[in-house]
Amino acid sequence: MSLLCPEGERLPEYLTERLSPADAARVHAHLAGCGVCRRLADEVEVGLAAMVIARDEAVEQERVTSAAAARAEVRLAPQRPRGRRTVALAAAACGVLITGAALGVVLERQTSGPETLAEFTLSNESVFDPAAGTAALALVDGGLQIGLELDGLPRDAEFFECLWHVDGETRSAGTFAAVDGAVEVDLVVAPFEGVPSWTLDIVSHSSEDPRVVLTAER
Amino acid sequence: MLTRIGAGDASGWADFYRSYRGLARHLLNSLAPGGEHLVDDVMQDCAVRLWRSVHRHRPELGSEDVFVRTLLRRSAIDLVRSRSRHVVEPGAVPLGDTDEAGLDPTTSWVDVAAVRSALDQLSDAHRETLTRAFLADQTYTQIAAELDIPEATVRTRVFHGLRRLRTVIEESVEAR
Repeated sequence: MSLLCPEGERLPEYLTERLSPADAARVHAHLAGCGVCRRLADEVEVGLAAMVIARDEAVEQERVTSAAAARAEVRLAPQRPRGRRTVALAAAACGVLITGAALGVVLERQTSGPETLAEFTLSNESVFDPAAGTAALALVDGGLQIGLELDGLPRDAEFFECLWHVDGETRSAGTFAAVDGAVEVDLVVAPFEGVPSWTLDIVSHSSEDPRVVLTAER
Repeated sequence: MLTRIGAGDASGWADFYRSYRGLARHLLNSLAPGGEHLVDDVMQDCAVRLWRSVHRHRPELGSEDVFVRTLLRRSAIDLVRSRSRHVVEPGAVPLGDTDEAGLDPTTSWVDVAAVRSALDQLSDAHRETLTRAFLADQTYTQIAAELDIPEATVRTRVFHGLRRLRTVIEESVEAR
């Protein structure tokens, strides 16, 4: 017989913001009154911290790999080839294939090309901050894939965040790092339904206040 | 609480320390047994991060509890990582000032090797589910579809996998 509250197994989703606002509020309210689940949350926190440590390692490996590629002056093609690797939310996890292999887990590459929905030009009108790039929106496995190719990003940024504005709501599509001011990465936001009007912002996070460095133009 | 912190209200900070100090101690107990004295460092680091980023919190994207927990988790991890690189081996001759908190050879630090080892000790099902969920950032729906299992099973595997991971890490650290 299990003594686990129904909210118990939802704690990992709650702690990693995978729940809807209504469900998150429900779990949060439950935590306030349930000492058992608060202790469970603390246990889960340790496991999550361990996964963050593993993820940091994956990101660092990817950074090293990307830097080596940049030194070799490998230029990325201007058009994204179909069937390229898809990495889900928080593009920093693109080192997952490396880590997955190290852990004995093989994650399959995306083999079927995504259905392109729209493409944006991302630009910054400032002469002194000439970052530019493109964003391609596509459907993949029922989720929205935001493919970014950016260049000229601020080099003092700790990381960048992709914000998508839809129906008056702002949501984060994930974060990513750049190498020498450039990045090519796919973010996946799922589930996704419909294609309403879109705008995208790329926000730079550094020791200063976050600022929009690129925005979408239809 | 975040609104009050953003407004410079001292009661917000009081709530922060009262509500999250226990979690900071718990994380240190697991990630750096013997390093519990660093709880104030973790809280201080988290307070700085909170002060810098409190305006970024968007209630529509997540609760302030999760926002603070995420920052606190990061503070604890970064402190453990930075201190574990400067551990003084027993018997070593200290160079210069050794008063900095953390240069304590009796503290056992959980590093990436320990995490890798712990993941290796999980069942294949738990390890693969955690890897997909937290390294590949796959949604539960995606994991369920790709593994051909119910989403509820994914939820159960993630929950028990994380708890098992914590147990294995704590046991391995104690065994050092």
